[in-house]
Amino acid sequence: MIGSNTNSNTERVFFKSGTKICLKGNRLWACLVLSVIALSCSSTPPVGTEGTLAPSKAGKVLGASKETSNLTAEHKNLAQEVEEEVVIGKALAAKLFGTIGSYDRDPALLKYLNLVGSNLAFQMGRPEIKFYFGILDTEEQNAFALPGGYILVTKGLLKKLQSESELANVLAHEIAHINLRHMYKDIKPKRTVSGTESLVRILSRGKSDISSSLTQAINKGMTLLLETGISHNLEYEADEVGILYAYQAGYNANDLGVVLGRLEKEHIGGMMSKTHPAFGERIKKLDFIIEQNQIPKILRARGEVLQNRFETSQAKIVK
Amino acid sequence: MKKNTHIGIFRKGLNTLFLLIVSYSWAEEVVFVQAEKTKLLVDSKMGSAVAGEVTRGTSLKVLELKGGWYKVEVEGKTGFISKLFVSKTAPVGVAQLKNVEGASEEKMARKRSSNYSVSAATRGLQTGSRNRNNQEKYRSNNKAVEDLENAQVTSEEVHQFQEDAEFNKNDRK
Repeated sequence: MIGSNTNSNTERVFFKSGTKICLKGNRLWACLVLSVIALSCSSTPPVGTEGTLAPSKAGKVLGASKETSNLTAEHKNLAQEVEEEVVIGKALAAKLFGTIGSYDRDPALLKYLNLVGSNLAFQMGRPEIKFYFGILDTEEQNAFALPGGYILVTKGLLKKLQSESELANVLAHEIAHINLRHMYKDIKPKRTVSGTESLVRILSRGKSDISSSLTQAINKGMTLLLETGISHNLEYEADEVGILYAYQAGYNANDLGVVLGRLEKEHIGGMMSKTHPAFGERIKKLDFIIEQNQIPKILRARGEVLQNRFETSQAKIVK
Repeated sequence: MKKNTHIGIFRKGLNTLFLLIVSYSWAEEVVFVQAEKTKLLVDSKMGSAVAGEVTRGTSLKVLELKGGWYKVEVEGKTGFISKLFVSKTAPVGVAQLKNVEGASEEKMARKRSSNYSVSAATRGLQTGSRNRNNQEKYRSNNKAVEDLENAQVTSEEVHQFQEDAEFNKNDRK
């Protein structure tokens, strides 16, 4: 009995002291958890109250607007990825200009192209990217979206277009490729090389194709651009997102289908038919997207202004 | 003694888990507008009527995720916005991103160049043969890229371009 009592007392004492320790521990845990709560609250700014209230011309702009000045770890990752995209895109642009040729004899057309393209890009989802729109000196009809914001359109395609809305739809398709990182995801160099990969590289003396470098990324990119194209599903996705972008900007979302229809009618294929799905199939899918989204097939802008500036800018190349 | 210690740790663990679950359920999901200006729509269709406009950086409280659309709330108004125009990360501009530590283009180029050398060395390539192989297939014109980058339009010009055409002036309300 005594022994038992002693044991019980000892246990009770221990339990008490254990509770004390436990309480101290609980405080510590509580502090930690409260910190987590505080952090989660601080990383979630109150809805619509970040920064100063945006000017509301017609009283319809909701919430506040500004680019953040508080850069987070996510922004650091984003910065590294964007820089990598730009390095690759710039190198690919140089190769396309070197291989096909740069059309730089019409600065007015280049400026107009950049105004149409930048107007679209301003309204899309990647403000961290600066877009550049250039012209390739070839009569072939095609356009290329390169990682990092470089979009190159051929002189031949520019000649075939008949309105600013058609041009905007073509550029929106290319912007969609870049925003969705279609090519970049496929060709980006590996960030780290595992021990196994290093061993395979050394043992194979170059016969292994595991290694990934900037040069390989660029070579793969050139193959995709000029020879094989990316997957047809990604082209359909860029078509879909592209017309949503074009509509969002105020252009007629039906005009991408109009351009594709014209190219199909004139039996224009060449480079584009090698790297893209069949025109007819693309038009069918575009019609479905327009119907599904109940998009009116109209231009929501001053048509005469658009047509006038389009024809003025295009005049030199269609002579 | 050991048993009680284990019970204590277990209880602490349970308390922590409970508090974490509660804290996460309190934290509302927010997305940020990335587009310079975009529309909050009445329905989850691009052609739907417009409920309001939101501008870049505005935080929107997510109420529901429906396919490619978020149902959101801002300043007491609810509406739909396409996932294409928002992100869970607050927007940053090109200039701001360039200031992020450790992400300069020059640094990246050096890093990539170094990776290339390592990779080429393991393949047993000589510098000469490496350059010859690349040059044969596709030539580069870096000057054309430089010219393109220098021939940029300003944001004022783009805004004027938008205003001239009166885009989206007659949107369905």
